Amino acid sequence: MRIFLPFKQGLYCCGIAIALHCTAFQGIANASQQLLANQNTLPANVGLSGLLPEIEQKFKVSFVFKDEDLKFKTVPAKITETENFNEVLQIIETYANLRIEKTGQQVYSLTDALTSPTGLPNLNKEAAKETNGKKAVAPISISGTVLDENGGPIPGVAVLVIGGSATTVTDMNGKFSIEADETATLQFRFVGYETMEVAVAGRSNISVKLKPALLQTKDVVVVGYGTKTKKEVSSAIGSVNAKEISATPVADAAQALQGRVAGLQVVQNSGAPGGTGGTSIRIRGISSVNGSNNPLIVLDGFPLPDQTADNVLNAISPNDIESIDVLKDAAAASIYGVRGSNGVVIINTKRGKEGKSTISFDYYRGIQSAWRLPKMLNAQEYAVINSEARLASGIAVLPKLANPERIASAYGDGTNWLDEIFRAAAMTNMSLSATGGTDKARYAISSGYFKQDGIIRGTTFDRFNFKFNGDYNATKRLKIGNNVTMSRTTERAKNTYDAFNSLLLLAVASPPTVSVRNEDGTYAGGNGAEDGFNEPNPVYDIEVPQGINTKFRAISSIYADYEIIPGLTARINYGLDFVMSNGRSWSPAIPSTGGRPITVTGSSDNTSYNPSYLAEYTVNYKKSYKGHNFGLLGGYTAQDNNYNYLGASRNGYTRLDLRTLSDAAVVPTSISQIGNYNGYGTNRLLSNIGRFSYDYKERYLLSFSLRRDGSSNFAKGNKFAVFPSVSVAWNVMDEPFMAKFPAISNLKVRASTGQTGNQNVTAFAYLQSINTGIQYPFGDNSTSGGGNSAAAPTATKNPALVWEKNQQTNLGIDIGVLKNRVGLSIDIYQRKSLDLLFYVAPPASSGTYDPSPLNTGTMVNKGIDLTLNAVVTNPTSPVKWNATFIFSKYNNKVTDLGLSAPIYSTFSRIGGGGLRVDQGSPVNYFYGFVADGIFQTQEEVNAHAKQTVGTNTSNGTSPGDIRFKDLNGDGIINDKDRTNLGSSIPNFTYGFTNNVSWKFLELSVFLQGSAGNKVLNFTRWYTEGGIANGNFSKDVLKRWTGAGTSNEMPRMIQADPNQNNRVSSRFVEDASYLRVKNIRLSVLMPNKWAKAAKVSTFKLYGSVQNALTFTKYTGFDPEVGGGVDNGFYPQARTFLVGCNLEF
Amino acid sequence: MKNLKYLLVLLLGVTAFTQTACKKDFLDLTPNNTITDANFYQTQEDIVKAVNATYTPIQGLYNGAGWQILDIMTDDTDKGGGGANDGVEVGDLDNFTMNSFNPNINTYFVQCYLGVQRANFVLEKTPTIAVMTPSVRNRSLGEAYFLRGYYYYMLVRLFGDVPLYTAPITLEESLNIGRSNKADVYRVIIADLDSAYNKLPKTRYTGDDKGRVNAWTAKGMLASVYLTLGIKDKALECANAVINSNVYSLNTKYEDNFSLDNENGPESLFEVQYRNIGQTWNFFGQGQALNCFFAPRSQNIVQSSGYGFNVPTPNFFANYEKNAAGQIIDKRRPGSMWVPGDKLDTYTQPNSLEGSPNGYNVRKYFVPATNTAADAGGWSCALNVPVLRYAEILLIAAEAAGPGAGDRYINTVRKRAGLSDIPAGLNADDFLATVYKERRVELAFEMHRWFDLVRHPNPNYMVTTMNAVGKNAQPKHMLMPIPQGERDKNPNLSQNSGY
Repeated sequence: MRIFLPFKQGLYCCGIAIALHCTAFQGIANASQQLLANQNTLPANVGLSGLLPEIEQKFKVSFVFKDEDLKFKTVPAKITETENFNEVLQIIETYANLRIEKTGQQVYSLTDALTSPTGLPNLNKEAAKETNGKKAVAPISISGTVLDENGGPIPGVAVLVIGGSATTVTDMNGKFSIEADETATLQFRFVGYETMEVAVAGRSNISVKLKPALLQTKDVVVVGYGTKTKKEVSSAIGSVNAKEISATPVADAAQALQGRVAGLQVVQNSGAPGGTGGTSIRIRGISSVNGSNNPLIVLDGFPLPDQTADNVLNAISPNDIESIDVLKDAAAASIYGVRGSNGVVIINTKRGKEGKSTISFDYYRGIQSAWRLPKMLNAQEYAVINSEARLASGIAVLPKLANPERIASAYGDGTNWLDEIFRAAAMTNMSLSATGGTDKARYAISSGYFKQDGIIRGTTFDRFNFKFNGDYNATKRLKIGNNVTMSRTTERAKNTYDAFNSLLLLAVASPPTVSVRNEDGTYAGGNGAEDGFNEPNPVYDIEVPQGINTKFRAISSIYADYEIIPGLTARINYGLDFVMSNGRSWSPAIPSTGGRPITVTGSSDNTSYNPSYLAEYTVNYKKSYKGHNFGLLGGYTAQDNNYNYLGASRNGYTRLDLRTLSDAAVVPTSISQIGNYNGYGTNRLLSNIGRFSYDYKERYLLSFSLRRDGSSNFAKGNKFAVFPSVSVAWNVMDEPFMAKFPAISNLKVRASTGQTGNQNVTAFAYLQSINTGIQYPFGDNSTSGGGNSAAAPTATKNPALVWEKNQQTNLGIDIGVLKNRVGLSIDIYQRKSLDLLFYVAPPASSGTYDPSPLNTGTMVNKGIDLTLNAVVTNPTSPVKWNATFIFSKYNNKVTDLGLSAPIYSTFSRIGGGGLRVDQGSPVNYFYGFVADGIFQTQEEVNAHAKQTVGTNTSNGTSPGDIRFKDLNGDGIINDKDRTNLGSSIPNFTYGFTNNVSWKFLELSVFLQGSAGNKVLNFTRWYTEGGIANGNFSKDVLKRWTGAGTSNEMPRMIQADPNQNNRVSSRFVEDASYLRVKNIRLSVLMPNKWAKAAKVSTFKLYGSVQNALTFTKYTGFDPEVGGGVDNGFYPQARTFLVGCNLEF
Repeated sequence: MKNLKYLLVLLLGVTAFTQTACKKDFLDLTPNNTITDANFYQTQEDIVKAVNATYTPIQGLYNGAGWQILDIMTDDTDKGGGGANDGVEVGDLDNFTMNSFNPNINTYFVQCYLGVQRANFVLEKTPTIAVMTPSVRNRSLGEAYFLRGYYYYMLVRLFGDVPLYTAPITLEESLNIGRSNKADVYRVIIADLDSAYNKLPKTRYTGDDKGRVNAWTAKGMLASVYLTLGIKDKALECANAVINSNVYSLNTKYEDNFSLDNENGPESLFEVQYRNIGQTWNFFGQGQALNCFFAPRSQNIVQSSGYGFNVPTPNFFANYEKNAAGQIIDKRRPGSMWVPGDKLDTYTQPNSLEGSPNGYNVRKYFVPATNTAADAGGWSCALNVPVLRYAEILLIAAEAAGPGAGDRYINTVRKRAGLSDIPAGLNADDFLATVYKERRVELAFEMHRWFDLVRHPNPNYMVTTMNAVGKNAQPKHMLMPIPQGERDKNPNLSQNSGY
């Protein structure tokens, strides 16, 4: 590959000249930006003069300066960590407002930039005044204080007289004094804050409050094994900062990512408390059909073990998270090699900063309730509809329902089963943290407690969490530190996910004429004989079986950084992710007249222990030479992931007070009363990583990365893979010609391409598995009993099996206009999944019949990510409105199934269709019949293709039944008339974040939505007659009852001879939605109140989560993971109030 | 120096981890919860299991494909069952309207290759087992050679050229393998059966090993192969080897060959072992399905009522020799088929039944409904089905020896049936016709007839014979079509002409 290097002609300035070309207040040096933004608050500054000797020694240079010039000059303490001497100079220049000149070999002079605007040391202020020729008006002495937005003093603020020469900086208490004319205007400047101008107007005391700079976006981006400034980034990375994460009242930080990053599709699979129902995170679509699509999550540098479950993040308190960076394109993710193909989510927790200790306390409490529940028939309506449905099928009416008039008096409205299972539920969060440190050592500790009751009775989640991390400069060259994040989560869950036993489905289906309990207090429920309905009583299912899952997780690491020579740092990092969980269940045999009561008391207990170990050795080298900046990263990592589980169950308990498996509680008398199981295994990775980055003055950027991974999941000879990537970027804004376009304040173009892998396929699938379930009977003429054991492979061996590959190309552009008041980033990409693993049915001549895994398919995702940031209000307006809009769209297509036949997976309970994977279509589209209105007359039935031919209306297709399209035109409606009914992949998703602040009020409104995604609403199978004698939704009142009465809702007929309830477009609904996800109003208490309360910040807030949802979807909630609504736990609407205190 | 302390501590940690991480086998893990080729084929017991599994496909082959193709397709039987729509695919075979989608033909193909691949595993893995009783090692190799030869023999006779491989095959290879010339297939069959003869014991098995093949099974099968190939001297040599071994003898009573009490009896060289394990509605379990499928339809004299398939034709029935009074004197008739008036306890076979206009049904492999231990219904009958009987060895010897020299063999078989010797001095053609007729009656419904039809020295014999009974067989039917599903997956698999 040839790379055009356009910078040769630009070698006109070099070395320290860059610094000289910059004046102190123009363009904030990236290094300082990095340091500043890392903290999002004021940098912890220290006196410069104390640090200079260290810098001198480190870089083998000398500084010449006057003590007076360095008085009160501060720089961020982190300057000592900076490896690049140019950056050091830039920081000094920017923060301390010093002018730097190279005056000899390795000798630099520092002079106060403000007192010597021409660059020459100007020791005579009077002389300077004369030079400026402004002596007409007598200057007055002005003093005052500069405060930050929270009312705290800001040291080091530059104060100058516009048009004059007098300058000063504020002292450690934010105080300044300066001489200026009565009519002069003072200017206050400080990095990270808006520059402010104040007319003196004769005052001798002027205090100002600086406002944080607009669009203070996070300027440091965490990349794999390092960080980069936003300007240096050449790949596609999306970032979310702490504020946005902690503003969302959720247990699982993944849920807080929804709508925040373009290209990131987050679907909350369920509203179960604690996010335990799972949150699916998909970065730029779906890359695998049979493997996992979950991104790799890297927590504080620890790549967590591959997850098949979606709820990895609920063990971490969102309050502890400092930043989340999403590596979207291959160039960014390929440093994670064989685990990078689904993208990477890098989470860093908060770390201590040098400076004053901060103690922060956050508390909120809220109440959650269902935002919408389906409307079901009352007792009398149910009697009418059910009797009608039975009569249509030629079945006698249930005696209990025979006289609809009597129903109302006997049952009233009847049992409202939804009210029986739903409740208003509390949610509480508390977190306490302390951070601080000195130039030598920094720490961050926190603890928190989160408790969420579910809006479905019997479901709860709580979490205790502790965190400690520290960094310690052991010597000038050695820095050591650690991370520990620990949590205990406890969950009580109920079945809200399967097509047979989801509580929600049972609740909608239970007839209103059935009661929850009998008069004697025992459980009632549908009685087969009396009600014709024998599904379980949902209240019984909530109250009787008990289960609790407790999970302990500790993710910890220690590291040491050692600087070998300036610019060359070696790092050792060891990590341990320790997950231990225990699940206990108890199902007592308590009678119920409803279906499937527990008849044998049983108990089970299982424990799993899943440690993962990490060792990483990396070397980082940075070198700058005449504007050419080189970076080199090399490393070696090994990871060892383990799982172990051990469990047992017993049944046949005769007493209900001892719930253990001990002999005292139960003495099994047969083997069927005993269950014992265990398993353990390991997965390992061994990797080499390398990255080379180069830029010329951060204008032209180039980065190569390479990872060589060895995975234990594959056969010898196929274990290792190399994942390369390359990315380039051009900061067009830095080109001189851009001066002609003053409206444009930022312009950057990026391009990248690279390869990643997905090793998350079944481990050891390359081995020939042996089927030991075969038998053949030898021996004497015995007539019965098993034969001799036999064993043979029934699937072919595929030792060539390898990881799935993902090849991605990304083109991006970042534009800023109106001094970056409006910023726009657009990325377009193509992801090609290659060597997709499919289970291929073997030819019989192979002598096997079970499908074998083969790398054979191809899938493509093409998409666009767009992020628009804007400061909507005028910068001078007292009302500040910052808005961010993100938009993501992708098209998914399985382009090649290779040797695999189309994959078709059917649903439980509802027949006639399923999810299908076929060439040329999006993955897992809904496959079924096309409903085409309702037959109004017998003539229409006769004229149409044959559906179900019966002898009469009770057993054949009749008027009132759904007409299905005869797609192949063969005159018969059969399996061949099924087609693609749409996909759960949205046309696009979007998020709209708004922060409006005025004085002490801050309002944030976050909207999020999805358009064009389809959901197969399986709940309607239940509520529109799928289950015999079950209740119906109010919608069936609009059923067909004769020609012209309805073209939507078919006639009610219990036996459903026409299979109106088959998988068809009837149940596939548009689940587009727009959700006002969060509204939050915060009030910052006035400073004096805070002072009175002896706190530095006192904030009160109220918020509403899931405030409003606009959707045409008719089920419980349009957000359905996987696209098939099996009566999932709906998301709650939460109202909460909280406070935030900082000491 | 303080730094050094920290460094030392860290370095110790580094060493601890790298010691494990840098080992060459760090990534070489094997599963501990599933049986794979990484932890199987390691003991004698594993090999015996692998051998046992090589026998298993023959159960499905006989249940799900053998009678449908090798008997119903011939002049011996018709489909029967409950009308034209009952078993359409079997009807297609009966009427010679079968195509490459026929599921029975597919089953035949599938089961044979299951056996071939499993035999290949045994042959590949057995030599790698360090500790093995020599007799078991030889026996296992011999069984695998025999079974591979047998399955290929079944394949080559029905399909002609077929994919041929003698080592385990990968998915990729199986997706691309072509068909080998049938001469090459026969070379492998003969070599395998020879190897099997050399490895296997030359005595009958006892106890728990009854049902395994021995050297004489291999030799007898080889006789059949040579006869099919028309190499008569070798066929005779092999058959005589079996006869002269004196290991086998005819059962006194013909019907004892199909009796629960006499499984793996004195006449049996090889039979499909079945057992009632209550497995239902499945051709591929351990139960025998023939009892249910062949029993008089809906008469409930077997468990699962009886389906009345595979109904003997009048043309077949006419082969039973009669006396001058027109009474059948062949003692084999009652053991082979039901005719009207036959009685079992209170049951009497009627003059006609659904699917059986003449009231004929196959009675071989019959276990009455009263014997619930041997038949739980749902196609789970325990009765074995013979593959190779001593009587067939005698008939092979007769046919191979030809007129005169062969007479004594055929007469031995006839004698048990209560029939007189064949006329001496028949010419070659008449003698062959006599042997064919004898085979038809003696081996009735034992899934030999189709192979006899297509191996006849007269290449038109099958077509002529079928046409004579009103079946529209054509020359292309000498070979059955390669299953289309196979060809869809494997582009290199050619089709037999005419399909």
